[in-house]
Amino acid sequence: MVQTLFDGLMIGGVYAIIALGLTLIFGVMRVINMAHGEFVMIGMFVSYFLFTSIGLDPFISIIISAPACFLVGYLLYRFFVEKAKEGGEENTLLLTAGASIFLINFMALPFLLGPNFSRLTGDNLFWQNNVLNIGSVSFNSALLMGFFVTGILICLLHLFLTKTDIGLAMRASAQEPQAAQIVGINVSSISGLTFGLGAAFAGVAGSILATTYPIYASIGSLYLVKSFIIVVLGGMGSIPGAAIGGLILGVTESFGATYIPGGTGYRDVFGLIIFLIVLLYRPQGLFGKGV
Amino acid sequence: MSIVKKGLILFSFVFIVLIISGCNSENASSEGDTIKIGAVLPMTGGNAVFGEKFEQAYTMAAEEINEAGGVNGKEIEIVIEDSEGDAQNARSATEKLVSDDGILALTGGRSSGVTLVEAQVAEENQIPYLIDHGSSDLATMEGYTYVYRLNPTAGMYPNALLDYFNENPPESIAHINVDNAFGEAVYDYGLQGYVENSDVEYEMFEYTAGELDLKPIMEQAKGLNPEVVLMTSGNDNDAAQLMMAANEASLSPELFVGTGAGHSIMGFAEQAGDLSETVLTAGPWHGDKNDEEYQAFFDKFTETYGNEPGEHEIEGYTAIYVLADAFERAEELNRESVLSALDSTDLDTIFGPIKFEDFDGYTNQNRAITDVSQWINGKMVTVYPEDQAQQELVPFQGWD
Repeated sequence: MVQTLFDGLMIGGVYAIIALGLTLIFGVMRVINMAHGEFVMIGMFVSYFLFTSIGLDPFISIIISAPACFLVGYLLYRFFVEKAKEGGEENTLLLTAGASIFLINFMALPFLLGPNFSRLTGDNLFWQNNVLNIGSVSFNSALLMGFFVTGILICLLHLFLTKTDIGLAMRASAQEPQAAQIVGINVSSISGLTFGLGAAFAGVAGSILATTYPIYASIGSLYLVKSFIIVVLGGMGSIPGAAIGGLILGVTESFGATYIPGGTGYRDVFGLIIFLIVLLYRPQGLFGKGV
Repeated sequence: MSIVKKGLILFSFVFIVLIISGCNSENASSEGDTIKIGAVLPMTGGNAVFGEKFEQAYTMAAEEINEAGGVNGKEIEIVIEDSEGDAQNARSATEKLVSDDGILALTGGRSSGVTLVEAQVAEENQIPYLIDHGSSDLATMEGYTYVYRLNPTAGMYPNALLDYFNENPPESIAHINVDNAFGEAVYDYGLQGYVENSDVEYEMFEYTAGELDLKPIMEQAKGLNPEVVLMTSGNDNDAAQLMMAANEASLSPELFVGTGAGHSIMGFAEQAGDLSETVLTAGPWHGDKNDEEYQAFFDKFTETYGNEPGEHEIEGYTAIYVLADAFERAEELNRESVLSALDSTDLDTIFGPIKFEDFDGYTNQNRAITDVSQWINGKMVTVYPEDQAQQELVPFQGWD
C-alpha cells in the first residue's frame, strides 16, 4: 500500500510539471495548447541528443532543454498563435493541433528522432536501472530526483508569479487583460513569455522522463491527455490545482493498476473517471480558477 | 451528348478495364529478366526496426542468389510496401503488391495483425504468401490454400520451454502477457494445455502494449511469489520496460522467461542493459551455431550490416531461399505453378528443414523447431534443448 502510494506520487510529480505548463498557458491566454505534449517530446529529444553526443546527464541538460522549448514555444506564439487568437478560441485550438502534427512529423525525420524508438542507455547513465530502497519502499531514483526538481520548480514559479514584475504582469494579464493593457503592460509580449514558459515546463518534464522511458516522435500525445485531465481536475488556470491534480492522478492510476484485477490495462480509464466526476459535480475544478 | 451516348461510353470504358484486369490476373507471370517477390513490412512507425531487419535479410539472400546466377537465369527482386505496422494500412499495401503482375509470391508481414490481413488478401487474390515471422496461429488455421508459414506459430513458440518444464516442473508461474493477438495466441495455442494438465500454480497479468509504467503489474505478480516469471511482449521496448519494472518492484523469481519476439532481439539487451542478464527467451530456433553454413551467414550478415542476425533475420533470409527454390521447381513462372511447387517443398536451410504440412488443425505449416536461449553478457546463447545447447542454463542471480 505504501509502495503503491509512493509510486503514484513519483509519476504524479512528472504529470504535475507537464500540466503546470498547460494550465499556465490557459490561465493567461485562454489558449488550449494541443501541441503541449510535443514540447515534452522536444525536451526528451534534447536530453537524448546531449547525452548521446557529449554524455551530458539528463538532469543537467534541463538547463538547455528548458530554454530550447521556451524558444520554440515563444516563436510559435509570436508568429502563429497570436495571429490565430484574433479569430477566436477555435482557431487557436486548430492551429496548435496543426503545430502538434507538424512537430511530430518533423521530429520523426531521419536526422532527428527518426521513425523508431530511442532510449537513453549506457554505463555512463547514472540513472539507468538505479533503484533506491528506503525501508521497505523502492524508488526509481530518476523519478525521485524528478519529484524534487518538480517541487523546486513549483516553488520558483510561485515566487516568480508573486514577487517579480513580469510575474505580476502575467497574473494581471490573466485576470484582466484590457485593464493590464491600460496600465502599460505589454500583454502581447507577456503572453509570448507565458507560452514559452509553459513550453519550458513541458521541456523539463521531458528531460526527467527521458531518464526512464523510451523516446519517440509521437510520445507527447500520451501526456497531453493526462495533462488535460489534471488541468480540469485542479481547475483550469490554477497552479496549485495542477500540482495537486497531478499527484492525485498519479496516485489514482497507481492504486487502480495495482489493486483492481486487470487494472494495468485500464489505468487511463481511472483518470477519465475522475475527469467525468469532476466535470459533473465540480466543473470549475478542485481549486477554482485564476493564476 | 445524349444520356444514352454517355452511358454507352461509360459502359464501354468499364468493360475494357474489366477485360484488361481479368486477363492480367489470369496470366500473372514473370516475363522479364526478374522475378519479383512482394513483402509488406513496417518500414516506418514504432516497429520500423523490424522492417529494417527483414529488408536487410531479404536483400542479402537475393544478392547471393543473383550472384550465383539467379533462378533459371532470372534475377530475384524484392518489392517492399510499408504497412507502418498497422493492419489497416496492410490491406492497401498488399493490394498494391498483388496488382503488380510481375510479383509471383508474397512474404513479410512481421506482426500478427498485419500477417492476418496479408494472408486474407493473398487468398482472395490467389497469390502464394509465405509467412516468415507473423505468428498468429489463425493464419494457418483458416484453411487457406495460398498461405504457407515457415516459422513457428505463437502457440508453438513455447514448445521447447514446455519440454523443459516437463523435465523441471516449476511450482508457480506468473505470466505477464500483452493484451493483443500475439499474447492471446501464446496462451490459447501454447500454454493453456500445459497449465490445465499440470500441477503448476499459474496466474496471468495482462498489460497494454506501449504502457510505460509497468511497476504495478510487477507488484501484483510479486504477490504470487512465482518461481518463474513468463513475459510476452511484441517489441523490445515493452520487453525492456518489463525488466525495468521488475527491477523496481524487486521481483526475484528463479527464472525470467520471455516468449520470443521482444525478448529475443538485440534491442532488448541494448535497452535493458544489465537487466537482460540471464533472461531466457523461448521461441523460434536460432539455428545450429556450429553449422558451417550458419556460421557463414552469421559472419557475412554481421560484416555487411554491422549487427548480429537474430531470429528475424534468419527467418527473412530463409524465406527468400524457400521461394527461390519454389520458383526453380515451378513448371512455369506464374503464381499457380509457384503454389504447386511450394506444396512439394522439402529443403534444408539454416533455419532447419522446411516442409509444409497439414497437422493439428494447421494447413501448409512448417513443423518449425523452437529453442530456449538465454542472454549472457549481452549475447544470446542456446541453453535448451540439450543437444543444441551452447552452455547450461543459468538461474536468475538477483538484482545486486
